[in-house]
Amino acid sequence: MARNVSEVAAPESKGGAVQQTRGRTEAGMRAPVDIYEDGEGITLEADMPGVSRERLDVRVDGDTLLLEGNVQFELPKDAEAMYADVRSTVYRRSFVLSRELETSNIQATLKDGVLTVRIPKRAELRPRRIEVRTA
Amino acid sequence: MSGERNIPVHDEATYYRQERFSGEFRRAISLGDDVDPDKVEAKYRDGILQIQVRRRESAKPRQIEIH
Repeated sequence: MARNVSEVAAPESKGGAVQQTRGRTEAGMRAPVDIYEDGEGITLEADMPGVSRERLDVRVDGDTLLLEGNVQFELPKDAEAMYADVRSTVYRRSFVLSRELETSNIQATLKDGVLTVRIPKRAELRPRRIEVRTA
Repeated sequence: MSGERNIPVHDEATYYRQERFSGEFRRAISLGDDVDPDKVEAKYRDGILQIQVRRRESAKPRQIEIH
């Protein structure tokens, strides 16, 4: 039963409750993400090493969630990179959120360069227990 | 340098994306002979490790004054 409820809440055939925006041409690094859904909502975790809280922008515009962060490198004066795995200094990635999600109640935390975004489902879509009263 | 990050897997949840690395990592970078092993500093901030290695004093280029 619980499985049926979660399927209705986020049918996988439609790409789930979160879909990535395609066809964007903006420059910027793709921060690797984990996205998972439980009964309460969606959790997104993104690796954005080098991004501090002041340089991170998490924004919801309509049904789109935009993550943007600037990396701050501390290179000593006159130093030049002999070898660089990371060249761009901007992370940018956006996702489309389904209407099942309560976008007005998003929580975001950043720790050691890992961003965690928690988006709850609308209250009426969260599983709830019905109390059985004796007749 | 080596480290480990273990991302817990939530068995009860449905995953849409699982792109982040979990597990042990290791990386080695060879340095020149002219570095001073006693002058290595490491900083860790916002998930970035910065290691600063200095050259030995005797190996630094120096200007010879001409009289």
